[in-house]
Amino acid sequence: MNGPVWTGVKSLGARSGSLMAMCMICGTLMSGLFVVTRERIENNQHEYAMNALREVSGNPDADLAEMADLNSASNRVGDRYRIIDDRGGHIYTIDTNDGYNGRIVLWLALDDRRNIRGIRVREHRETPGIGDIIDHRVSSWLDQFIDRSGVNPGSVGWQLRIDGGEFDHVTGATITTRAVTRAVLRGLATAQEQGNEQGNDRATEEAANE
Amino acid sequence: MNEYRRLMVNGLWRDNPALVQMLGLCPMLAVTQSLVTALALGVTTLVVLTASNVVVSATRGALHPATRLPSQILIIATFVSLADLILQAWYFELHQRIGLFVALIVTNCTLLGRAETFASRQPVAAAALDGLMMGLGFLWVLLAMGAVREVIGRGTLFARFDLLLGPWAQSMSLQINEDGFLLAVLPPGAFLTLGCIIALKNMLFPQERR
Repeated sequence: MNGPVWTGVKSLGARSGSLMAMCMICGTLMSGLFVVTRERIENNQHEYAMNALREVSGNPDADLAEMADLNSASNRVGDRYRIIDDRGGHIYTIDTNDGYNGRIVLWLALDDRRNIRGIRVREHRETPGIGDIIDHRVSSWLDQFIDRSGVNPGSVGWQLRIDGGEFDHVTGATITTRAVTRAVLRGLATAQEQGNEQGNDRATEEAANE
Repeated sequence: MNEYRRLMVNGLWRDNPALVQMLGLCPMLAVTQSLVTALALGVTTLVVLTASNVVVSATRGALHPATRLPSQILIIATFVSLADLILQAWYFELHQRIGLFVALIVTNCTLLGRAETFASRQPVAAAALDGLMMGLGFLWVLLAMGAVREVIGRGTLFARFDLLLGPWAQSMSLQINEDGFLLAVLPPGAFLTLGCIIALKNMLFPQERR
């Protein structure tokens, strides 16, 4: 009786033993390389996020203060980054659900007078070849907003031409471009509210002096 | 010598993992939008496949039959994780594009298939050659599809090779056509391209059809 039971225990030990040894070797290898590459990967992530933010700001040499976790380069709405150069201002993360297919997340860079420095799409699922003209790698449609602000043009002008406003729409992608245009206007309003609350940027000071 | 010759012919052509065994289609269809991503994932798969074949073959005597499969998966998963870390550390921007599919190499049936049906029963040298040839067989189909889809879909070839080779490779990009035929880079284009390549193979070599 004892024989078979003992054999069973022994082979179970041999089985789990070899697998455990394997796990330990593999685990050691992976954690070893993880430790070696960790700093490098974090630097890469940081640099990647910074470059993306600099591109939005329109100034390739701008410094950016981390008002949120830059490593994640996240798409959380409300994340803000302060741009440190002579134009100043912030980069805001905004979004809209009015697009043709799901959420569109944008980065909106404003200077300290709340004029638009640049806009980039962070995330979208619009139709390739049609709605993706909002992607700056595909077309420069977004550049028409540069130097505009919440009061330039006025509220009537802050629409697509097809709706009676001043901004070019794109045939076939009216829904997408309308959604982005409205999101940008909303973003400008939010930025103004935040600026008024904090009362520390140049646009708010000037308004108070008048 | 004949044995090695047979391994080469099998991997590259007669038992080609992509064209004949039809394994690993998910990553293959996803990363062949351009030549550079196809090359990157193809080489990563080649390296992981060869390395896991060698280790599976080298440990084949030490492993209990009952734990052989989990051990093989563990070995493959380890090499994939190492490759993923290396890509993140040294080819970060490329990893941003193909990262999802690097992790999916674990589920590429070519790897477990070669480990179980070949490497676990063969000496190290044969297993290494088999991994190398199967990997090359997978790679050349990826490259063919990547090239065809990039030329037809975007009108370019060798675009963004700087992601892999550094800034000097930006000049490698060829503009063959002004505009692309979008369908080729969309998911259906992947199926159509693969279908055409298989059809061509069957037409030219009808005696090999299964």
